[in-house]
Amino acid sequence: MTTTSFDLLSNCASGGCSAKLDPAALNDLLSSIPLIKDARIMVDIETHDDAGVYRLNDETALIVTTDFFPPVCSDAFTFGQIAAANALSDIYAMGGTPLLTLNLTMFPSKDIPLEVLRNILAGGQDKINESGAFTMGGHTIDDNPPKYGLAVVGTVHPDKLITNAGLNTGQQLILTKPLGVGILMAAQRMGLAQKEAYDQALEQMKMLNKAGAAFMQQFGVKGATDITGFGLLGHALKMAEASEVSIQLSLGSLPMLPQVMSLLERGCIPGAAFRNADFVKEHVFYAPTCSVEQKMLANDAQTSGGLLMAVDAEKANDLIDALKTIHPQACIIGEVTSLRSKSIYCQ
Amino acid sequence: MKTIDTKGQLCPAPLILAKKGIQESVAGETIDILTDNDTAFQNLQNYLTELKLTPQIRKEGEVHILRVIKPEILSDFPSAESFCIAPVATNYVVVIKSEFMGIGVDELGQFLMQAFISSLIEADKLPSAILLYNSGVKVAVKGTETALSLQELEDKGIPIYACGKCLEYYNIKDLMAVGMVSNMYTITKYMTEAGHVIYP
Repeated sequence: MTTTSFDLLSNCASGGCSAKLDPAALNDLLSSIPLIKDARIMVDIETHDDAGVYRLNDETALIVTTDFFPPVCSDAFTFGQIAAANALSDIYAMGGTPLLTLNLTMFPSKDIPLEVLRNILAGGQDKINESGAFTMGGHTIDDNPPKYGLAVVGTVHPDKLITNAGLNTGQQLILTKPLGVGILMAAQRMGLAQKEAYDQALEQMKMLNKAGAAFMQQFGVKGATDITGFGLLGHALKMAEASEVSIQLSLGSLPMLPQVMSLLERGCIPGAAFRNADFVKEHVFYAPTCSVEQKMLANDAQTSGGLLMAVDAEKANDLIDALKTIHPQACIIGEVTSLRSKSIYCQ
Repeated sequence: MKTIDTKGQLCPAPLILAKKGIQESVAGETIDILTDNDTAFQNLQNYLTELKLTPQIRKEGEVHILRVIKPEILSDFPSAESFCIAPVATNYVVVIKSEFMGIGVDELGQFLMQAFISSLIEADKLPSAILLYNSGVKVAVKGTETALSLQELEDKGIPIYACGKCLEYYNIKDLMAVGMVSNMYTITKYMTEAGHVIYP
């Protein structure tokens, strides 16, 4: 076996953000562990935001987050890039700039050549460099299957913080990256994915949400999140609840990666999509015109997914035009409405 | 009678095998789908139910068996068309074009509209959608009896679409308590494709 051809997917069953623990079970057990409050904590776990935020002074708040997971693809360097882009994304989703990172690594040194670990870390560093942050060290455990990600510290001006709680009635919702990453990764494992479609999924997972975050600040966005393991509806639900509004989505206008609709029609629906759908079902109204494929796409677990942001209606078209220079499939997928009996309405 | 054996396989493989097997069957054929994985069973059950196949389930030892009968039409795409066109005679939408029912004294008209919407909850055949426009959007406003009745209808799965322009015109968008903000495209689509349109 040569090190460059080692297939990271050969020894793990589920990868990326779909390896997350069942959100309902996690919510239950976390509710029994009270946390100490502090006036300087601007965002804690309660609004289920992407990261915690702590006000240092009137000029600077710290954003802290971590994310790591088993391989999402066969190539070590690419996996490193995706895992790092995914971890850095939480800082961008809060409107911040990554400052410092630590590598969190688990690697089976007896089963896989160490060269592979080097490639994972090199891929991660590639994205950390692109973000402008500095690697301060890390921690490595001998464990199988491999897992990699980052702990990240970022900064933001306290007045420019972007949170789940920042949505206002009447705003338009924009999604920057197309959905379907989880579906294509499942299809790849089954040997059903077309190369072009799968390659595009890898490319978008590697893409930082850096430009999207910059545009959010430019257009005065106050409410946003990144779409990861809980799927579009799971993350939209957290925003709706934190902002005390309802969200109305047009499932027919969701952007998706190539081949995704035909895979869904064949029944290629990963288990994580069902888990996510189950988690949100009490809070979602689906109009009868929503197809099973559309519902499953809206619940598909994304790895290093796009930003979902709320912008004032009159600025929406200009923001879309700006985003399209980086994310060609960015589009309006819904709007924020006053609070109704359900948090999310899908039509 | 056909058996689709997905034992030993993890999602999404059982779903793919089930969908393929059902598609290749003839209408009226009985199909048993086998799985020995609890998660795959749950997902198959949800998936088949979404496809309107109402699976009969049983367990033999460690093996779950989901039995379905292939319908005439496999409802992959429950589009607005399929909801509206299929049973032309029975399918209807309710269009509330004013906050008042009928022409006469407003107070009476308002009372009648409230009575109409609450009666609709008990109707044998529910509408496929309720459309609100012009001052009809006011029936969805917070704190009204009509909004409470509409909520019961929405809880039964009936989509309620309110004209967004109208909500803005009357400046009550923030006061909407039930239903979805919609546009003339959706409203027109439902009206033109419905078997009947009911104007209270």
